[in-house]
Amino acid sequence: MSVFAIAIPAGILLPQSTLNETWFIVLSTVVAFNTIIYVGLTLSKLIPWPRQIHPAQVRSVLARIGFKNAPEAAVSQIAIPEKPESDDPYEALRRSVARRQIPQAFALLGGIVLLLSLASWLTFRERNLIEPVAELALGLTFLLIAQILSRRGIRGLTMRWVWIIASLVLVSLMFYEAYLNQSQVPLAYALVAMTMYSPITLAWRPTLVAAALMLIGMVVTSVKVPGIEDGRLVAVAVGALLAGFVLLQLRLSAIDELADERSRSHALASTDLLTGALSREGLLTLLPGLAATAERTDQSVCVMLFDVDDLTRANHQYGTHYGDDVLKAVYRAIDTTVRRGDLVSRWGGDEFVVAGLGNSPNAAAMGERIQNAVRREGVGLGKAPINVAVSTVAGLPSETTFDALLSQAENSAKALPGA
Amino acid sequence: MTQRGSAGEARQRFADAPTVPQRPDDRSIAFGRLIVAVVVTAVLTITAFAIAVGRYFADMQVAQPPVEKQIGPFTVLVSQEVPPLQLVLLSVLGIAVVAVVAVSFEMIAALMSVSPRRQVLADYRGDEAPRHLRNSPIIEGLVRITVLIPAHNEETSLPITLDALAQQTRQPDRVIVVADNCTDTTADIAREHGYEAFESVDNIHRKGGALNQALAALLPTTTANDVVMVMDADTSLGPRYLEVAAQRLTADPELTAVGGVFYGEPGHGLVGQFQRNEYTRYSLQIRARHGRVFVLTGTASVFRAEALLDVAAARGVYIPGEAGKVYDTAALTEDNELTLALKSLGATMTSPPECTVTTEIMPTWKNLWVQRKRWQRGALENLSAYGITRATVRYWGQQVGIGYGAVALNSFLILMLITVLSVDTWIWFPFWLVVGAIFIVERVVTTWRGGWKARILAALILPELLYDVFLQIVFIKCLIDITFARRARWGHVQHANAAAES
Repeated sequence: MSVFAIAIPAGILLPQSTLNETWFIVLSTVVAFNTIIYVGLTLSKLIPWPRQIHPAQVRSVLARIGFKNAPEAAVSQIAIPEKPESDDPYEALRRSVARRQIPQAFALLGGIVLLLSLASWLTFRERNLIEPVAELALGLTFLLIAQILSRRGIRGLTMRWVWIIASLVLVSLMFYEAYLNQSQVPLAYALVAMTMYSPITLAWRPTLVAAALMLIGMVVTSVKVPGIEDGRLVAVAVGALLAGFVLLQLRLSAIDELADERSRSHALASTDLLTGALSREGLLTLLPGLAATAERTDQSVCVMLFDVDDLTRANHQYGTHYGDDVLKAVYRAIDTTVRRGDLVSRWGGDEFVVAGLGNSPNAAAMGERIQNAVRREGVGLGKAPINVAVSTVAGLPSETTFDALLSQAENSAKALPGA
Repeated sequence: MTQRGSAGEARQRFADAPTVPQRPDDRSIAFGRLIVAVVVTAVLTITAFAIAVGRYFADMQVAQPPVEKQIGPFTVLVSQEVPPLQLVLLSVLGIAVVAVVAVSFEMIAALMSVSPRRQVLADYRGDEAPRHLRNSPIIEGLVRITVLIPAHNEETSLPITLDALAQQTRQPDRVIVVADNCTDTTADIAREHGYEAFESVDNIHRKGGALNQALAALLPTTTANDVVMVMDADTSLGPRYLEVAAQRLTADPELTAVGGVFYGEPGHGLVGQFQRNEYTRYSLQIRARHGRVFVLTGTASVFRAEALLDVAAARGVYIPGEAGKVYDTAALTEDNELTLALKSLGATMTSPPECTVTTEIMPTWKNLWVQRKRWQRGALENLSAYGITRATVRYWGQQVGIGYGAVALNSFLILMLITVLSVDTWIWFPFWLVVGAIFIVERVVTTWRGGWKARILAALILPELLYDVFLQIVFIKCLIDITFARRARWGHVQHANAAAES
C-alpha cells in the first residue's frame, strides 16, 4: 500500500510541514523509544524460562541462610477483633469515621496532586520535565498509602497521626519549594493544604500541634522568601488555620449528633443488625400477640433455645469477623429449619430464641436438623466443627409465662451432657 | 423436578419488607476507584517519563536527506536514519527494568509458596479435627479424582461432555453433576450415565453458589489423597488431561492445583479466528513459562481437596469473602478470584501442555465485548478486593502493563495515521523495516500451531493490532465503569443460538 503512496502528491489531508513540528518529533521519538522496548520484550521471549521453583528448594535456601519461616510469623496477620476504640461513644464514633475516611482522604489527595501536576505541566510548558514525574510519583505514593491504610486493621488513632504527618510533610515540601524557587506560588498551595487538613483528622489535639508547627514554618519561610517580609502571609495562614478549625468543629458536632441518633435507634431497634433476626426487644413486642393467638386457638406456645458452642474460642482464633459469619449462618439454618411463622430472635451474644405456636418438637431431632443445615451452609468448612445446643419446652399461655418457659429451657440446656 | 422460579430467586414472602433501593457497598466502590487511580497514575507516570525522554532526544534528531533507490520497477526514497545511540541504550535500560521486575515477581512467588498460613489454619483446627493427615504433607499412593460439573439447563451439551469424559485415558473415580436451578432433565441425564447428581437448594449465586453447596457436602468427606476437578458442562478435555494431572499431583505432594491450557473451538469466522489466535499465543506462553499459569481456568482445573478446604477456612481471615465459601460469589470471575485466593495461601500451580481444554468461542463481537468486559472488570475488582499483596503484586503489574500497552500502541497508530495523511512522498526507513519484520515473524511463529488461517491473519499485522485496540477499549471502559460504580452484567451465550449457527 505504501508503495503506491509515492504517487499521491502533497499530503492527503495534512500539510507536509506537520512532520517537522516539535510535537510530532516528540511523538515520533516517544514511539521509537516504546517500539525498541517492545522489540526487546519480543526478543526476550527467546530466553527460556527456568523450571518453576519448588517450595522445597526455597525452604532449603532459607534454612541455609538461617532464616526461619516459623508459623508464628503469620498469626499476627489474622484479623484482629474490631472493638470500639474508646468507651466514650462520641469519641468511638469519631475514630471509626476517621478510620474509614482517612484512607479515602489520602486517595483523593493523591488524585488532586495528580490533576494539579498534569494541569500545570500542560499549561506551563517550560518547566523541568523531571518535576512532573516526581509529582506524579508523589501522587502515586499517596494512593499507595491509601491502599495500605484501608486494608490493614489499623486503628483510627494511628491513622490520624499518619494523616497529620503526611500533611506536615506536604506543607513543608511547599515551603521548601517556595524557598528553592524564591517564589510565593507554592505558599498559596500550602495555604490550601492548611485549610483542608484539620477537618479530616476529627480531633483537636493533633490538629493544634500541627497548626503550631505549620505556623512556625510559615514565619520562617516568609523571612526567607522575598516580597512577604512584612508577615502578611503569616496573617493569611492564621486565617486559613482558623477556617480549618471552623470546618473541624462543624464536622465534630455533626458526628456527635449522629452518635446520639445512633444510641436512640439502637434502643428502638426490633431487628438484630448483624443477622437480621428479631432483636430481644422485637421478640418481646410480638410475644403478646402470639400468646393471644395461642389462647384463642387453644394451643400451647413452644420456646426453643439455640446456643452456639465455643463462639468465644472461634472469635479468638479467627477474629470476630468469623464469629459474625457463624452467627449469620446459624440464623439462616434456624430460619430454614423451624416452622413457618415461628419468631426467631437473637437473644444474646450466641443465643437464639424461637417462639411459636404448638407443642415443643423433639430437641434431639431438632438439634440434628440444625446441625445438618449449618453444615450445608458450609460456614465451618475447614475449621473446628460448630455445635449448636438445642433445648425445647412448651406450655399453655394461661398456665405459665414466657419467662418461666425460657428459664426451663435454659435449665434443660445446662443439663445436657457436655454443656 | 421443578424449582421455585426459573432464575432460582427465593420467593418473596407476604410479610417481607418491601424492596428498598440499596446504596451500593461503599467499601468495594472505594476500593475499585483506588485500583483505577493507582493503575492510571502508574501508567501516566511511565508516559510522562517517556515524553520526557522524547523531548530530550527530539533535539538530537539529525535529519538525514533520504536517498533515491531503484528497486525493480519502482523508484523509492530510502533514509539511513537510525535512532540516536543514547536512545537505544536508554531503551535497553528500560528492558532491563522490566526484566528485573519480572525476576522479582518470580522471587516473590517462590517465597509465597512457603507461606505458613495453611499450617496456621490447620493448627487452629484443633485435636477434634478429623483431618489430622493435614500435618503430614507427604501423600502415599495415588490421588483420587472427583469431577464436579456445574450445569444449568445443559441437557443438550451435557451428554457430549459426559461421553467425552468417558474417553479419558485415566478415568475419574467419581463424577458429580451439580444441577443448578435446572428446569430440564440435566440431573436425569447424569444419572442415566451412571453418575451422581447433586441438586442445589435455593441457590441465587449462579455457578459459584451451586459449587459452594456441592463442596460443602463433599469436602468434609475427603482425605489427603482427594483431588477435585471442576469443569464446565460445555467444554471438552484433551484425552490425557486427567492422566497427566494425576501424574503431576502424585509426583509432587506439594503441588496444589493443575490448570488447563485452553484452545478455541473452530468456527465463527473472523471474530473466532482472532480469539483462537489469542488462545494459541497464551498457551504457547504458558508452555514457555514451564506451566507458570496466571489463572486456573474455570473451564477445567484440578485442585487438592485440602487446599479448597483451606480457602474456605481462610475467607474472612486471610482473604476476602464469607467464611466457609470456596468460591467467592461476589466476584464476577470466580476462577480468577479462586486463583488469587490459593496464591494468597501459598499454593503452587501448573498447567502442563497435555492438559488441554477446548473452550467455547464468542460468536459475535457483541458477545465478545460482554465476555471481555466481565473478565477484565472481574480481574480489576478481584485485585481491588485483595489489595497490593505479595500474591497479587504480579497481577497489578499486569494491569499497569495493559494500560501502558494502550498508550504505546495507540500513539504508534496515531503517528502512522498522521504520517500517511501528510507525507508528500513515502520514505522507507530500513531500521524500522527490520523492526517491523521482527514483529511480523513473532506474530506468525506464535500462531503457527493454529493452522494456515491463523498464520495469514497474523502476517497481516494490522487486523490483530486493531483487535488489540478493541481489547484496550474494553479495558478503558472497565476503568470508567468502576470509577462511576456502574453495575456489572453477566454475559451468557445462548447455546441454542450457537448450535444453530454452527
